[in-house]
Amino acid sequence: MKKLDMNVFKEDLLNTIREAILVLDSDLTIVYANSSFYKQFKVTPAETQNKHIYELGNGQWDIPELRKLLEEILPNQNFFYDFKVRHIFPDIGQKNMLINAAQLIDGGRNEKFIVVAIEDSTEKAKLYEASLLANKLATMGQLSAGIAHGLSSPLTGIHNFLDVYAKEEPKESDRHHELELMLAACDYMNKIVKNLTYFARTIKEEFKIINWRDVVDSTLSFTERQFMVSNIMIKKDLPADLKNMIGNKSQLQHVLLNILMNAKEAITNSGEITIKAQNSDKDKRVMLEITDNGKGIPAKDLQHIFEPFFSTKDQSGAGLGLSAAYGIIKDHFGEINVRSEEGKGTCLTISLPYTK
Amino acid sequence: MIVDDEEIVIKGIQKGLEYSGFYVKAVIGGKDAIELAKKEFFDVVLVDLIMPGLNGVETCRRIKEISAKTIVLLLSGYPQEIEKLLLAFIDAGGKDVFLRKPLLADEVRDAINKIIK
Repeated sequence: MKKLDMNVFKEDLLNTIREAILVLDSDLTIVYANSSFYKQFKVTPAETQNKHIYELGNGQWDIPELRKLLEEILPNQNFFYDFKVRHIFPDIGQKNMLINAAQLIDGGRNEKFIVVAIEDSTEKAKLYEASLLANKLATMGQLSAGIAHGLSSPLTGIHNFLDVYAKEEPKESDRHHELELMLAACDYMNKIVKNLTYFARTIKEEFKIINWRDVVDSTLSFTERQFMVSNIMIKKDLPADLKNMIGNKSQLQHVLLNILMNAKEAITNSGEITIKAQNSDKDKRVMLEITDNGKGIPAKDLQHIFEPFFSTKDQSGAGLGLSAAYGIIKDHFGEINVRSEEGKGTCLTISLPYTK
Repeated sequence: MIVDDEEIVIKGIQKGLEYSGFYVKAVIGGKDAIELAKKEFFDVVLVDLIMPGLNGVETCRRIKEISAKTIVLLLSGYPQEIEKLLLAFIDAGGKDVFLRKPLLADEVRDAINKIIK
């Protein structure tokens, strides 16, 4: 086995690492920064080298938490891991960082250095916050729906009784006036209940009678150009007797759009996408097939494609498109499946129950 | 006919509709509704979705078996449940219209007029 001479490669090694790395001397002056540091924090070597860390980038690294870390914690314990810092940099905006640091002691020269490794966890934190928010909204939606449902029946009864009693009383009587006051209060409560229900509905959108022909046409109307520009032909086969379904049009457009965009990316130069729909009377379902002749999906990836955060795209995809599609189709009591052969293409099938 | 599992709902809507001149029977629960449908023809049945025993979907199916011409409308205070069961309700012969509680008799009257037109 060949022996690696670390001294020769150390610069390359440090520049390969995705985390930003800084080396400071004991006065907290920067003696080294790797290329990830320059890239992530948008600074040049000239602005960085031999600068005191707190002066770096017009003082934007003078962060109270970092000061505490470098000046108080580190001298006592030699290292720390996963220290969370959230800071708004004037030039690059908010960053969530996970910081590791350690003291390096050069015994020969009796000099101390500090190595600081900074992981940019901004995107992770954003995703986490988004999922917290979604969960919170879902819980609030359930609570609202529960309150609205609990009050809706008693209110229905009271409102109807009072309405008739008020109509039966002579208009000028005190009792009529009192009943009118109660009716106004009922109206007010109805409004609150309806608003709570509307909020709950924002979690789950309205389902109506829809048809794949309409969903496909409307989706293509605002995307077809993109495909033409990329030399991709879209063929449609949507029979006139296609059965209706119950669902949410914009959600199904979202599903279709995601699949079409994946197909577009799978096609390198020019190619063809076929959208075919048919009724399947034996199981009372409408089947939609979207087939492309792109590069296909490797067998090892195929089982993961509906998992959240799974993506084969280098940078462009968050890996949520198909998992969202999966969730939407499940909400529609449907199935979504995939077949693919590397080098030949991919076919996604969606089956949804049809109505009479 | 109005079917719900809460007396205040059926009596309240009945009162309002009778004031507007409708002939209305108010029934608690799907089982009694089916018994009444065997004895008497109703142009319109308004049925609550979530009830103990027979739910709105099942009640609708049985009523349509007894009297195919009866129009069955769905009533609920729970939009999420409606979304889940609307397809089954239509499958059972119900109308694809639902009335949401809190509900005034006037809204029921308007919905019926719209369907009959």
